[in-house]
Amino acid sequence: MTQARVPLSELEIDALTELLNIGVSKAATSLRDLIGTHVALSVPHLALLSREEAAKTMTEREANALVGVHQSFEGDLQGRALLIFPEAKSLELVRAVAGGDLSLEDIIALEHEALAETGNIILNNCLATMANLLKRRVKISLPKIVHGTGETIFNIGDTSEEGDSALFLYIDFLIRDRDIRGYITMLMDMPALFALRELLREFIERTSGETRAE
Amino acid sequence: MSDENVKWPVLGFDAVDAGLAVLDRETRVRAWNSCLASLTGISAELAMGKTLEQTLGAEISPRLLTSLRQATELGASSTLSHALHPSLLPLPDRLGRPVLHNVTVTPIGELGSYCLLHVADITSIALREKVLRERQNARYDAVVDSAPDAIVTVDAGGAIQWINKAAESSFGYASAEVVGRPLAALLGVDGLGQTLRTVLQGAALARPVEIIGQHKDGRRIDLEVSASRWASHDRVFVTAILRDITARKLADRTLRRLNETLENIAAERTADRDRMWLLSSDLMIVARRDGVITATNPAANLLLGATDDRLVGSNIRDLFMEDDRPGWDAAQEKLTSASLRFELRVTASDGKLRWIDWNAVAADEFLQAVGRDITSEKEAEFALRSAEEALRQSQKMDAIGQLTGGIAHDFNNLLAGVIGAMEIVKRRLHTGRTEDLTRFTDAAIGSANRAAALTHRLLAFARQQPLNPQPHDINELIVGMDELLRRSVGEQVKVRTFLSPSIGLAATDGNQLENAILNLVINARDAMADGGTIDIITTSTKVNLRQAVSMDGVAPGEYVCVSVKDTGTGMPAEVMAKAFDPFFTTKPIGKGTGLGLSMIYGFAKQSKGHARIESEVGRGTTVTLYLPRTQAGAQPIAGEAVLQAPSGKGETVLVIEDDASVRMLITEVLHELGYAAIEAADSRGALPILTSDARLDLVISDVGLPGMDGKKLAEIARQHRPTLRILFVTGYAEHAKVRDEFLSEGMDMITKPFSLDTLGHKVREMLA
Repeated sequence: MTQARVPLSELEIDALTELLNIGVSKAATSLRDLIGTHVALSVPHLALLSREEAAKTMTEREANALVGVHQSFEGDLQGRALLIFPEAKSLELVRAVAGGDLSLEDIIALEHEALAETGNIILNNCLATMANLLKRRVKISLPKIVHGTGETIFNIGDTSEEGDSALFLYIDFLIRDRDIRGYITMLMDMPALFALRELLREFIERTSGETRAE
Repeated sequence: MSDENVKWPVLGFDAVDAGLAVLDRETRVRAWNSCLASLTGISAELAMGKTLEQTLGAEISPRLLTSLRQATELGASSTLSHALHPSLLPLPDRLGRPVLHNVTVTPIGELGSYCLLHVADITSIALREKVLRERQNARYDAVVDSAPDAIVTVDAGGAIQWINKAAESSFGYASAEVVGRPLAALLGVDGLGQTLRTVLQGAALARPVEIIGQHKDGRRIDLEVSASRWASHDRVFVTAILRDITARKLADRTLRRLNETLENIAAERTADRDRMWLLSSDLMIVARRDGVITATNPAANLLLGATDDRLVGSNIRDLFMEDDRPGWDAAQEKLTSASLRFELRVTASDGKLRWIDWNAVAADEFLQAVGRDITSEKEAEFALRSAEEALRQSQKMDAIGQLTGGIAHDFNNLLAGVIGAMEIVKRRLHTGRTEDLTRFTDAAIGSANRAAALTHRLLAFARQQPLNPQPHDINELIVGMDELLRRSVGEQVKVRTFLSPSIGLAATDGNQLENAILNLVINARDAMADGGTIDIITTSTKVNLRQAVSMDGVAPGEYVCVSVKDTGTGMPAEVMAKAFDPFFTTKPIGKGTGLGLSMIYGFAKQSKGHARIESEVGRGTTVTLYLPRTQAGAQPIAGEAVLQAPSGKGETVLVIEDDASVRMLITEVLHELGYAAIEAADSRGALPILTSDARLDLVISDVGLPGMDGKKLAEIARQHRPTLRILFVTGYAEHAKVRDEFLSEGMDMITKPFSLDTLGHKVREMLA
C-alpha cells in the first residue's frame, strides 16, 4: 500500500522514538511505584508500517494467540494504541506484576484486571508524554483487553477504513528477572499521521531552536 | 412534581450502583453520589468542595493521584484494579471484611477541567469467585499435592503454569524456578510438544504416551504421560500427569539385556561345545541309559577306527575289552549326575589294547562319557614301578650284603677266638698239659657268649628278642661295666661317669642295656679318632603328655635316662635324621653292621622307652636312652648270680631235642646235676615214653621238632599225664613272644643259647 508510506524522515522517526522512550521510562517509574520492584522498559526499535505489514510482522513473530490492551485516543492526535503480548506471556506478566505466591487460579482470576492496568499505565504514559511534549491534548479512553492473532488483533475495535498505518514498537520488559517482550502499536489513519508529522516537525524545530538558544 | 422539575441526571447519578465522584484539577469534590457516600461513610455535604485527601482524611496513593492528574491535565483515562491495589481508597470494612474495589478515572467536561472517579464494589463478586475457587482448589489440591505422580499444568503456549510437589521432587526444580518456562525445553522432554499440541487441539489421548524427561541434574527420567485439556476464562490449559516409570523401564531394559545376553551366552556356549566336541583329543560318547550309542566325536571314531555311523547304534559295552566289561557294568549301575571316574581298556582300531581313563555322568535318559587315552601313562607307570622294584631289590641285596658281611666279620672274629682256644685245649690235652687250661676254655666261652650276644642283638633289632624287663639299678649296672668300658675305648679316650644318686629303678633287660651302653661307648670312641672324653650320665625325668607325643608316643610318666656323650666329630642334620635307620652306617663295609643305633632304638622302644640323639658337627654327639622308672620296692636284680646250680634228687627228665649235640649237652648236665635223663630225638621217639607209665617228672622239649612239634607233643603228653611239667626250649623268638598263650600251668620256656647253669636253675625251679 503506497499511501501507507507516509514519509516520516529519519529525524522525525528518531524524534518519535525519543518521545516514546521518555513515555516508556515514565511508565517504568509508575510500574516500579506500583509493584515495589525495579522495572526496566525499553523501546529498542520503532518502525512505521502499513497495517497489513504490521499484521504480517506480528504473525511472523508470534504464531500463537495474542492478548492486547487496547486504548483509543482522540483530539489533536487520533488513533488507537495497543500493547500486545503473546497470550502465553500474559500470565507471566501478571505474575510478575502481582507478585506473591498466587495460585494459578488466582492469577487467572486477576489476569484481566492486572493486565488492563499494566497496559493502561504504559500506554497512558506513552500517549500522554507524547501529547504533552508535542504540546497537544488528547483524550484517552479506558483500556480494554482484546484477544486475537497477529492477523486479527489490529482489526479489533476498528472503526476506521483500511489503510491505517501502524507505528510498530518493540518493547522489552524486565520485571523480577523475567524478560518479557511485547509490542506497542499505534494505529493511525492518514490524516492523523500527517497531523503527527506536523507536530513532530514543530517539536524538532522547537527543540533544535531551544538547543541553538542555549 | 412535574417531570420538568425533576433533575434526572442528578437522580440518575445518585441511583447508580457504583461510587461516583466528580473532581476538579485540584481533586476538589464537585459531585459525590449516594453510593459513594454509603461506601465511604462520608456524606456528599461533607465531601463537597474539599480535596479528595481532605474528604477521605487519608493520604491518597501516588498512583491514584497520577491518574487523576493525567485525567484532568492530559485527558487520559485510567483503570486501577484491586488486583494490584489491595486498598486504594480507605473504605470502611463491612462486617469486618475489606471492601474490594476497582477504580477508574476518566476525564469529563472541557478538556483539562474535570474527571470522573468511579469506584466499583466488587467484594461480593470477588468473594463468590474466591469461595468457588477455594472450594475447587481444596479438592484439587488434596488430590494433586498428595499424588505420587508429577502433575504439571501448561498453558496453550507450552509454558509451565503450575507444578505439584511430586513434580518438584521428580525433576529437582522448585516451582518458582519453572513456572512461566516452556515445559519441553526445561525438562528436556522430547515428544511432549506433539502430545501437547494434540491435546490442545482437543483430541483425547487414547493411552498414556511414553516420553523421556530430564532431571535438573541431567539424569534421564522415563515418563508415562497422560494429559487432558481444560479451560478457564477463555484460556486453555493442559494438565499432564507425568508418571516416573524409570525403575520399570530400567527393569524392562535390564531384563531384555539379560535375555539377549543369555541368548548370546547360550549360543556362544553351544558353539564352544561344538568346537570342543570336534577338536577334543578325548573320546566323547553319548549313549542312552541302556548303553546304545547315540553320538561319538571324531576322536572316538579315530581311536576306535570307525565312522560315526558304525558306532552309533552299537552298545558302549562292546567297546570295552572283554575282561573289563564287568567293570563297565558295575560303573554303569553307579552312574549319576555326579561324574564317575574309572579306568577301562578298549580295543583300538590297530588291535592293541588301550587304557582309557573314563569320566562319565548320567542325566536325562542319557549318559555321557569322556575318555582319555592313558595307555602311554600306564606304560610309563609300569616301567617306573618295575624300575622301582628292581631298585628296591638291589637295595635289599645291598643291605643284606652289608648285614651278612658285618655279621660274618663279627662271627669270624668270635669263631676264631673259640676255635683257636679249643685247638689249644685239644693240643694240650693230647700232650697231657692240663695246667692252665681254664684260661683257654674261658676265652672260648667268652667268645661264644659274645656271639650269642650278637644274635641277640640281631633279634632285638627284629624286635623278636624276648626281653626280660626287671627292675634294675642303672647306676650299679654302669659301675659294674666300668672296667669293660675303659678297656674297650683305649687309652686316648677318657670315660667319666656322672650318676645321679636317686634316680630309682628302671624296668629293663639288664643284658640288653649293657649291650646298648657298650655299643654307644664304642660308637663314641669311633667318633673320636684323636681322643676325647666320653661322659656317661644318668638322670631321672618326668615326661608330660605333650613331650610324650614328640617322643614317638611313649607313655607319659617318670623315666630314668642314660646319656652317652662324646666330644667327637658330631654329625650333620641329614646324617642324624637317618642315624636310627637300620643298615645306615658311616663305617666302611665289613666294619660294622649298621645296626648299632637302630638296634638300640629298637631295644629302647621294646622297653617302652625312647632313644634320642643330639649332635652338632665338631661338638660331639649325645645319645640318651629313656627307660621307664619302676615302682620302688621291687627287688633289683643284683649282677650275675654266680650261684652253683642246685642238684637234683634223682628225678626223671625226658629230653626231646633233634640236635644231637644240644641233646647230648643237656643230658650230660642233667646227669651231672643228679637227674635221671631219657633222650628222644623227635615225637616218634618221645610218644611211646610219654604215653607209657614210666616215671617222668619233667619233659624238656624243643619246640621246633621235625614232624609233630613240641607244642602238639605236649598236648598229647598232658592227656596222659595232666600234671606233667614241661620245659620248652626254643631258638625261635616267635615262640617266646607268645609264651603266655603258649604256656599253660606247669609249663615254662627257656631260650637258646642258654648257659648250663641257667638250665640247672630252671629245672630245679620247676621241680620244686
